[in-house]
Amino acid sequence: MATPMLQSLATTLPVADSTGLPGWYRERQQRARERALAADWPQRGNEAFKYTSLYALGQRAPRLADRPQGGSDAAPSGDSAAGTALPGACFVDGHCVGIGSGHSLDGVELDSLAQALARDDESLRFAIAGEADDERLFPSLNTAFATDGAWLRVAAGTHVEPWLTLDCRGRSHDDDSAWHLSHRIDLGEGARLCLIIDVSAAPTASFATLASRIRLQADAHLHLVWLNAGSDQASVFANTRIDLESRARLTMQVLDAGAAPSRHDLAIALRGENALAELGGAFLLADKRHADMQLDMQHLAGDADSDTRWRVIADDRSRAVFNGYITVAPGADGTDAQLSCKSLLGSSLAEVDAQPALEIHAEDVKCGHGATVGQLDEQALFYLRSRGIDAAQARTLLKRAFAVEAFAAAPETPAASRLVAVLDRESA
Amino acid sequence: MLKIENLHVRIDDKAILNGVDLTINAGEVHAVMGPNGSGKSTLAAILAGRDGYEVTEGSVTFQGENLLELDPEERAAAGVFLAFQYPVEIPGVNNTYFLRSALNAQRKARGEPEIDSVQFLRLVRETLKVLHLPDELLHRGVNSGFSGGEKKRNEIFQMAVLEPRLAIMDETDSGLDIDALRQVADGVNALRSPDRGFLVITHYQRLLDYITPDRVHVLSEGRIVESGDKSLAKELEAHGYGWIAERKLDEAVA
Repeated sequence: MATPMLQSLATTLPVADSTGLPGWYRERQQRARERALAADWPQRGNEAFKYTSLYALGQRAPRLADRPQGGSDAAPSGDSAAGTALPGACFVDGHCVGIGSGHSLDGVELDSLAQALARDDESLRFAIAGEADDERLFPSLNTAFATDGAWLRVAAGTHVEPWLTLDCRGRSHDDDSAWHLSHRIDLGEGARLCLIIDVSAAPTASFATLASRIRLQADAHLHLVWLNAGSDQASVFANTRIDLESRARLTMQVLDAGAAPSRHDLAIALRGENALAELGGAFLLADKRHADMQLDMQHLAGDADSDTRWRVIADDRSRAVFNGYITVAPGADGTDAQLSCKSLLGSSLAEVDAQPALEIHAEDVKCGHGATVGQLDEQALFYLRSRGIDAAQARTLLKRAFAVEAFAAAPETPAASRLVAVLDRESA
Repeated sequence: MLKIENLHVRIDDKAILNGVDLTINAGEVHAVMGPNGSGKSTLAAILAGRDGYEVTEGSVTFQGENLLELDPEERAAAGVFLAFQYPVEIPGVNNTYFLRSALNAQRKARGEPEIDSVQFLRLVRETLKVLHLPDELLHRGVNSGFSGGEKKRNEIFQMAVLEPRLAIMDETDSGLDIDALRQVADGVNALRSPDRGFLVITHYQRLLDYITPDRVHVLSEGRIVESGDKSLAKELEAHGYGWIAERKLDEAVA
């Protein structure tokens, strides 16, 4: 049975935006639309959505947000990568409103997907042709509707010094709106890049999907900071796939303040030998916000390492879901995969569902996983207060110390400073 | 400065303090000794404002204020400092950051200007030198991975930076070797001043060889059963706590 959500989406395509798109892209959209319409709306019985109810979302019928009309619409101001002043690109309601200075850096090509499609860029077509269809509902919806995003390539051997930012935001609307973005990021052999994907959905009711396909060629190093500013009413579905070839290294830090819900399906495939993935994440959840991380860590080649540290702070009536699935494929001998998820419950009404899982099909493998749930240490709280620090600040200090552990692999990053800023604002 | 009158305290249904009377004037060092379970640590905890204790009777005034009505942080700002028996490890909270936050929070509460990081660092470096503490202690998490001796010295270091009016030391000597004990005592002695009071809680007379008390009190079953000058500590060391009980018995018979 198609839900109101799917029925409304079915009537949305083809939209005006589809004109000007190359035929092969429209066909791909059409296939994805058919997959989405044929799919069942996920119920609680579906293992992947066991702890994240989509019932309410399914009853909604968001309208595809219009393209921002330039002027103040298109040049958002705010504390993060405002407009295009910083290197990177800015997207509003699923449309690129500006490419910053990043594109002029040596060895960096930063383009919007829409522009590349408009000129039917051959290498883009080639890249997309190599992508297998994703049968899942939200990736299908993204493929069906996304017509813009970042297309970022870093040439082999290029070390990009400044942090680039992909600012992905939604505006407030009077009615329920939807937007979709699709990013493709390629790092050539030995390339190095520091990238922030900064997602801020509107505080109003909205539905957003973000798909990111990231490839790291041999010896490339990507430092990726993923920020989700959080929203009480937006529903954000991110699908990220990151492939690492031999000796490639991913240092990824995620800070998610939750939404209604903020769901992230993150697949990291260690395809080459000696690849390394360091993944740190923190959920900072308050009110009724909900964050759900579905991690699929795939060890496909030998001697690759992964280290995942997740920290959850859940206050009020918030809910956190962390599903950390590690697969060690046959032949991926010498794998070292570690995963921990520690949670701090700040209220008896908050809930954390953490589930680490291992599936090992190789020899000589070191794997460890663990999940804990606890509360703020009263002894530590009293210790700080006995020195003159008031209760609110003491709590903040302890929460910060707890959460920042997730970023221990690289402590001085935009993720850590955002974490501190969020917590300080909370206690102020 | 500190006046404790007829203080009765219980935890859950268990009476721990059964009418403690104790007055500490500015400039004085008072030692409270007593066997295990006599209520020494409870006395320290109740003065610092730890949760979980119920005062059923009596009062505590500090510089004319009802101390028991204040939150722990308000007591700190008023000048009360507790050197913990078991200092808490807080990995992830930098020692320097913590101490500066604490000092500035206290100063702010007292209406004094905050001190900047340059001034603070200077103050901290000088204090470290006096206490023979390594610089690198500043860069670590609060008590994180510290040895027992380092933790206790860190307590004295904090005390030196925060300059309280009343310093309570809860078995600061426990678990210290003789060198560390001397360093802790040196630190305390350097802080003795006419406007600062000390309450030194200890099992053993040993610490009092280095920190000479003005008064010594014996706490037993939640009451101060004997008070005297520093010689009382020597007597206790020679005869044990049983000696007090026997003497009380003799007095009662006589």
